[in-house]
Amino acid sequence: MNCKQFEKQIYLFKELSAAEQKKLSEHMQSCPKCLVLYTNINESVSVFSEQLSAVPHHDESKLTVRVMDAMRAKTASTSQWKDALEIMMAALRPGMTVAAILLAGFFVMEVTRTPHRINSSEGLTGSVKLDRTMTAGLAAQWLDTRSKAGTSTLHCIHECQKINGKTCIECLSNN
Amino acid sequence: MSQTPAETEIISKAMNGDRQAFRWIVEHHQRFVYAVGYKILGNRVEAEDIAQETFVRLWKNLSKYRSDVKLTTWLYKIATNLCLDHLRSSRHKILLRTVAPDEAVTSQESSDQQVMATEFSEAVRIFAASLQPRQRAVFVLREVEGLSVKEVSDILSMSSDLIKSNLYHARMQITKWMKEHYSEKKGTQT
Repeated sequence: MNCKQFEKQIYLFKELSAAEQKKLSEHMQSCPKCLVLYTNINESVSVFSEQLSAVPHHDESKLTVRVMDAMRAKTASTSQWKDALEIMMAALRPGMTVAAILLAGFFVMEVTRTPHRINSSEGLTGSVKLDRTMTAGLAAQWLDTRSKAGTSTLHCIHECQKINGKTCIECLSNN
Repeated sequence: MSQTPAETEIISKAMNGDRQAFRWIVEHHQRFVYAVGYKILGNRVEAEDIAQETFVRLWKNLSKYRSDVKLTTWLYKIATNLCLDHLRSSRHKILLRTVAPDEAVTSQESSDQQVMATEFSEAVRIFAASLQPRQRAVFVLREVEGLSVKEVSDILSMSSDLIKSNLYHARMQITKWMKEHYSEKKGTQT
């Protein structure tokens, strides 16, 4: 071990394994400069720690009272919040039930109107993304109309918003 | 500080909402909680505030208490982390500039030696405050409180390597500072 390696490890002497400590100790025995560094670290840390460990007196009974008061206040405010929340929930419960029913209805409608693959009356198939005003029946009619008009593609292509040069019904309704 | 069966019973009573049992915990452990706060923050008023908040948090979270963890370890954890949050806040920085030295470092009598000792204590306190919050907390827990690296690592939720790195830097800076100031003090005393 050389002095450079010693300096890297000596600040963590207490945290080293017994074997590592032994190596450092052996080096110190043959190197007075490193021994001085080790002594300085130990003395400095010890004196500094001693100074930090001096704690001024505090009024223990006063602190106990402070803690118990703060605890009571916290518990009271928590229960006040709980009470307020319960009252609010009771008041809102009928409204929330109605809202939940409406939301469920809306969700069912949305599910039935999401993109479908529909068989037209002529046996042709195509995909139509239904908008809010278009039912599955209307979409089938739209497919029939497009196929009778000689439209080869039955997909409602929203990227170009046109099918064979004509704007599709859905895009028209969206616009 | 190991947990006695009686203490375990008191803790379980407190967990069931028994305030007298909790009061016993406060009375029994407040001295060390306050001391940890003071050693890290270096200010009596702030240390009392931290001690109060530590016990309020303990009360609030007592239902989560696991008997395999020592209560003191849990208290160390709450108090130290509150101190770290506080050290990072601007409120602490303002207080540090304005608050006068605490009673522990000021004395009624004023012999030359006492004045020097007071000045030195104050200088240590100011230098400790200049260390990074993590370095200061790690140094206090390891060197002043005498906890193991594993315990410090559990309390601060930091890896052992990070604890050692903070210790390394804290010890190095303290040694350098002490070389400049303590040798002067020793020199003037002789």
